Amino acid sequence: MKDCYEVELEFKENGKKEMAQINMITNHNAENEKIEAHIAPWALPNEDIPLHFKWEKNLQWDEIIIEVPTGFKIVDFLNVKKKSINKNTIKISEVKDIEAAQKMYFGIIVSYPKIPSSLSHGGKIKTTFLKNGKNISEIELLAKVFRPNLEVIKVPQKLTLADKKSPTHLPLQLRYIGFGDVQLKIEARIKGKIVSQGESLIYEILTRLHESGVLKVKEIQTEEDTRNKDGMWLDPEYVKKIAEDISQRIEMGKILTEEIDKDMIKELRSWLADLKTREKFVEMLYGRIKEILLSILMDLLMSTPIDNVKLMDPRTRMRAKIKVPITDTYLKIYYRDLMLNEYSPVEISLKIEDIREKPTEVIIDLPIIIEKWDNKPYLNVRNMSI
Amino acid sequence: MLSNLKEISTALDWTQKTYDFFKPYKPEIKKMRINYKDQTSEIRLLLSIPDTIKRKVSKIEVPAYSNFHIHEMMDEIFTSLPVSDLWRYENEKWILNPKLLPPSEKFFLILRGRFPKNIISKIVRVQEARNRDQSDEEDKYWLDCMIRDVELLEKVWTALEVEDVDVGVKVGIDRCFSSAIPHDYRKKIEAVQKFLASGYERDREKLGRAWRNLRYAQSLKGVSVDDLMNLFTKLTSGELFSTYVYADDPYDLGPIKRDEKFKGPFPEKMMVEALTDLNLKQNTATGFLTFKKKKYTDTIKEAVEG
Repeated sequence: MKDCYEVELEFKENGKKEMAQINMITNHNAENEKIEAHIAPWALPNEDIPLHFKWEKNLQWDEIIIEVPTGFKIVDFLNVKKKSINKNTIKISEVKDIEAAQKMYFGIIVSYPKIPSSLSHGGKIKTTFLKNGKNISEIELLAKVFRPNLEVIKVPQKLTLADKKSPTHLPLQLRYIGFGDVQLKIEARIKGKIVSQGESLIYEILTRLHESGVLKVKEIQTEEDTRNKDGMWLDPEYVKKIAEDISQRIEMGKILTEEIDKDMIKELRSWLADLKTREKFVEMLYGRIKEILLSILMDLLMSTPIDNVKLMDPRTRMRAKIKVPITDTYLKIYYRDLMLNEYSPVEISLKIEDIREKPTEVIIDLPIIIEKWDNKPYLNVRNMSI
Repeated sequence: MLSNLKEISTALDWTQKTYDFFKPYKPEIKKMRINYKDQTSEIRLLLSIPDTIKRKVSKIEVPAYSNFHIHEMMDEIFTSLPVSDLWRYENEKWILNPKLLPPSEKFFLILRGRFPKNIISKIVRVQEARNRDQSDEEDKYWLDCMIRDVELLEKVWTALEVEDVDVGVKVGIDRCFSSAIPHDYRKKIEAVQKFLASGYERDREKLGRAWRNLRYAQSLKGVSVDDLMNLFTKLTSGELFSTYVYADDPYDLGPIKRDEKFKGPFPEKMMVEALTDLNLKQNTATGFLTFKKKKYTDTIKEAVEG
């Protein structure tokens, strides 16, 4: 018969008490009352999972056997003096101890070093205290490993280029389930070649500046008192960095918007090459703080569509030359968690069909937009039974 | 273990040396601490400097072993004494003129030296959950600290305590801002962006259109960049944010700041420190750090909607 231990953890707020199961199942045994056991209540794949045992000094024992479940890795020991390890079984015969310490204790670190296929994966760590070969206490701790998962709900099978109507973007609908915040990146390929590009914030700012008509070299003027009142909002280093990034982009010819023409880019390039005028450029940016701040804010909003997902490139676009009536396109949605575990990308295939009357070579430039998210994260995993 | 012991002992060498140096003044060690957060080691000594010594000795000179400094000095009734007036630093020595000391038989001295983090890590193990556990109301992070080796700790110094073991948790708030800012607000932002752009335009038609869009957007509520920025600044102040986080015993909240790594105007993470002490009596510390996410997001929503 196994009894479940429930321990009250008292939280500070309003003296509210919350019952939390600490994932400990023990045999009903008087000796158990002298032993405290604790394990971190959840983990991602590859994350260190610390656990420890503490007991009164008057507990008589001569061996502790710990069985780590298959698939789990033993990472480290704390405060152990003598041990032997055989595959996934640990035998501890001596624990470090000093007079000043009130209790005896030791710790173990385990981890689950692979990506589980299921969203939750549990491993029972069985610990037995022995005296003269007899079990005096058995404790089971549950290591809980969780992972996220992305799925496609809806994607067009075909994008059709027609004379009267052409797609404005590539719409996707995705679902997030499981546990763990993810960073997401979309990649599109045609015939094995990458045709997607994520436009950065810098691009966005540059576009806005261009729309403001501010990138006209000859007319660059710095306004009086262009710095915001107390310089609080934009770190000067940050503004400098924006200026540098923009300059770099221009220098490398990485302006792909049709709106900014080649001649202007040439002009801007030579102009930015001169340090003095570059300083003027930074000044000018200060004068456009509002545009910059709003761009940054919009970027933030676009990058975090739902609680658990962060888009690395919220402005990913597909740019490709379409030469034939039907083109096979492949999308891959890469995602990783906060431990930087990389999960199998979501794969999508679709066709681009050209049904125009006089089809010519055309360059499509379509933003890939996730129009809808179905967000179903696991909540309260610490209390979840597996 | 021996190499660890050596490294730690070397780092704490200065404490032994200064203790030995103060022998004529019958030093008693009242406390010995390592501060994980500040990466310092500290000893508190009780010294005996009676009037007889004050009369005889013109100066007390201690070599500044490992560049320790005098953090604090108190008399026997715990009155704080002006360290910078009493002690001077000369030729890599700390010098005290006992005649400047107030009438008191005993004095407390707190000395501090450096203690690199990589060495502290040999004494304690600190870990926080990489990912939060969410609920509709709150986000939780587990905290776990343990002493690696009690015998090592004892060998180093009997009264050793590792103080302010600091578990730094980065609480992500970008999602809070993102989810708090309603969809129609985004449209307003776009309208303002277009308007700002057209403000420099000479195309009257474009300007007119942008103005009309803005007016429509403003019929709901306007977007003032100034207001927005002020709002963000307020909502990411450590003081205000601290009302939305709490830590379980045996942890206490330390200072809360914006994550300094990000230099942009909207901090995406707040750096929350949870502090605890580890010593021979408390050799492990576990608990949760909780962020009242819903309350925080609601506060943002209210502020944005006015």
